[in-house]
Amino acid sequence: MKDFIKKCPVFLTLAGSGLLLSLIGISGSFSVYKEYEFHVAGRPYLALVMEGISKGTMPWEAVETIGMGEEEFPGGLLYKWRNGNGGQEIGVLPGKEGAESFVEGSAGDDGVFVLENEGIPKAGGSPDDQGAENLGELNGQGLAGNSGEPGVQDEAGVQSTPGVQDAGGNSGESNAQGPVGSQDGAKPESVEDSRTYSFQTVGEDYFDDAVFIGDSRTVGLFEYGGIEDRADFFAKISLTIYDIFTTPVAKDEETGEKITVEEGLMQKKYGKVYLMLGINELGTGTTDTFIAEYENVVARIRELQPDAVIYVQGIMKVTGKKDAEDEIFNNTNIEDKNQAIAGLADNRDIFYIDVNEVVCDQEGGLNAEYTIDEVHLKAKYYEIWKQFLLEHGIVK
Amino acid sequence: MVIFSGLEFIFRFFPAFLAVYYITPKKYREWALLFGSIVFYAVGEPYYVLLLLVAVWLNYFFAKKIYSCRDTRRGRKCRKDRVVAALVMDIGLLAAFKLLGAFLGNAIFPLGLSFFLFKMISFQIDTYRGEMIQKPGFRQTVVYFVMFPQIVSGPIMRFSEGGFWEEEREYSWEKLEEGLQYFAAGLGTKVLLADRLAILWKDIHMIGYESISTPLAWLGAAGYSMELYFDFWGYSLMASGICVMLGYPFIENFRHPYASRSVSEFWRRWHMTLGSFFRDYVYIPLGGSREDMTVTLRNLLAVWLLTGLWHGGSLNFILWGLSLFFLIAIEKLALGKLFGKFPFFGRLFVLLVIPVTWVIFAVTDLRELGMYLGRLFPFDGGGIAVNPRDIIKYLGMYWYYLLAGVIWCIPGVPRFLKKHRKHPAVVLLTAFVFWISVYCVVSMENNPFAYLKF
Repeated sequence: MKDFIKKCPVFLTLAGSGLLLSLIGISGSFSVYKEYEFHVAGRPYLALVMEGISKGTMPWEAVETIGMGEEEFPGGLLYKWRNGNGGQEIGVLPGKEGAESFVEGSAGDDGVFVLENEGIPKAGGSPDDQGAENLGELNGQGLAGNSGEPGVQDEAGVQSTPGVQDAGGNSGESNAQGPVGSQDGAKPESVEDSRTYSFQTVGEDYFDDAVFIGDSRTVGLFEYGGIEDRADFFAKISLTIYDIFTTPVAKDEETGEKITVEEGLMQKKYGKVYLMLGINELGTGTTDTFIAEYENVVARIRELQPDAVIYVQGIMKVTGKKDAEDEIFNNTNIEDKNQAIAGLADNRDIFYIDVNEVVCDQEGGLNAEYTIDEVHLKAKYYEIWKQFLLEHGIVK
Repeated sequence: MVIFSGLEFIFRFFPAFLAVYYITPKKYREWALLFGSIVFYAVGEPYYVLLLLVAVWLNYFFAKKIYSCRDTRRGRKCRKDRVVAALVMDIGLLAAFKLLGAFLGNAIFPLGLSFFLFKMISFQIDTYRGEMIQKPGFRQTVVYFVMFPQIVSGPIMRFSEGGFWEEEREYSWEKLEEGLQYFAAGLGTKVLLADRLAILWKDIHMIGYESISTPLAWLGAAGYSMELYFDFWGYSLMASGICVMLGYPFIENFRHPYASRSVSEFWRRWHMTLGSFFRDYVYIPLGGSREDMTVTLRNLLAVWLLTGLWHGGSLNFILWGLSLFFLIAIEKLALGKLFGKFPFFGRLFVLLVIPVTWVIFAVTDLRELGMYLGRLFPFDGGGIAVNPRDIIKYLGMYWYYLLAGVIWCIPGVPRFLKKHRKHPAVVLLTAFVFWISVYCVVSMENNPFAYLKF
């Protein structure tokens, strides 16, 4: 044996560790890896262990579930053998697990979230609702924690908005210190409240007090839109409506620390807040759960930036080719969410704009000429988006 | 299953095959390899496997005919006629599919056709030249043509290199171990380096070539040069590692090419089995460099045009071949002597021009290619919506892969590891690299380019 170890140590190490990983995979397949796929022909048990690690489930968690129970190993084998294929069908748990991992993913680090997407709809039961509930809770806490301050700001906000428009300037900075009191009394609030605005073309200085929040598309606008010196950007690849307030997206200019969208919005007063989120969420939850969360986010932004015009942007579509091929990232799903997003607009201080009007072809998909990967604009076409934004200014 | 870095191959086909192979008595192991290889190919190409079998049989038939007239009265003429017939068949088949591929898309091109047909061509010519020291048996010939480690992308082993004439093939635990280490090294090179760097290249493509800054264009060219190298070298290491595990010799396909001192040397160290194929079967038969310079240049031109065409049917591959011809020609005419005296300049030259040739190789659309070259050499300014800070972003995202890549290109590093491959630390490192690679394969399987994140 000693001789053998000397002759082929790598072979023995790999065979031994492979066997160990397979055993962990088999035992975990009754519990922590229950949702993962195993194929006799192509996907060995040890792949479950790897998949688990990539989603934050460590191998020792599988070891913990060794025992004679139904969700344990080798007990699960016994149950499976007794009930035929029954082990898989005991219905309640898969749903619950799905929801759990869903929350972990959304709160945790960025890699996890999107990979989870495909798994969840299949997870059996109806995990979506539960997932959303959990998320709602998460966010609810955030709201509750800060409820004191924003309340005050809110009042001020209602008053200050009308004050400025009469002053005529379209530079939002004056918004901040808006000389509010005197004029406000003159106009009844109810009239102001119901006043709606329509879009007009504005100059680039419109962006001077704007902030853009979004995923990789908005990152692209930051890098290639040519307005990065005017506007602030809180954008990050794979940012979602669910982790928008928990993921660090920008650097604090003074301290250099990474800050979240929430912290960023607390530090400075903005005249316009542009939101484009939703493509990463396509595989997660339903449109209802999505829009409920979107509404929370908008409400929170409203609290933090009471005077700002909030633009909720429709999600940019994908090309017709991608649309046809992809079960999740397709235009039907995007249109569905966009319709819901559009419903949030009140045309008073929340406006819906849809860049698809200018970047799509006749069939309604993202113009194939504008993109290489079917999803993102090529650098030089971000200009189209910018021009579109300039044509949709709101001057109060 | 035909991808060596896939789970199906690593954990299903190969272990099962290896077990069957070693349980089979030595006498019948070639049969085991033969049938295993046909199964392997049939999984990848359920229809073209018939084409493969027909081509194998016809080539064996022709080779036997060529061999059989070596002792006849008009041996030379007879052999020549027969080898021409065989070559017309092989080259015709290759050309026909290249043409079909060019017009109907690459999906129509049979898996590994360029490689196994080149093996067949070399086999016919070697037989014609009388280099077969004995009549090749049916079993050995078929195994040589179809052996699964080499059928998809080479290396283009010669029959004489395969050890088919030895009395008995040598099998041992040591060889199994050695081959496994090569395989793990190749897997890591492909999965941990090539596949990561591939994302950088995709990112640059996504931005649009007209909008990348010149530094990013060079970073992209460097990244792609490494990606291509690690992809193919990694693959070749895996292929040759499998051969070693099965008792066949290690076929070297890359010898640290980026450490070369001239472009000609680079191409003697890059895809060596293809380079030597063109040298032995095209360049030297045409007269090589024995006659005057014009003939030498003509022969070089022939070799590089063929090399370009072999890689692909579109115009950029011809441009690519021509650019290499041009570089090697000026080295022959002028720069070679300088590089001989000052190897430093030669190294610098290689590191600057080879990435540019790879860009020509990579970008199949000529208009796009023009844009990329325009960003590499921005003489007329140019560029649309260029973000001059893009280089910082991409260096920040990829510097560790690029740094690891540069280190892995230094010949001393792999040599050191090879020399100390029995040291416990290297053993553990090998196992670690293997499992990390498997981890990456699993976590990327639904998401090959990390693209589901927008």
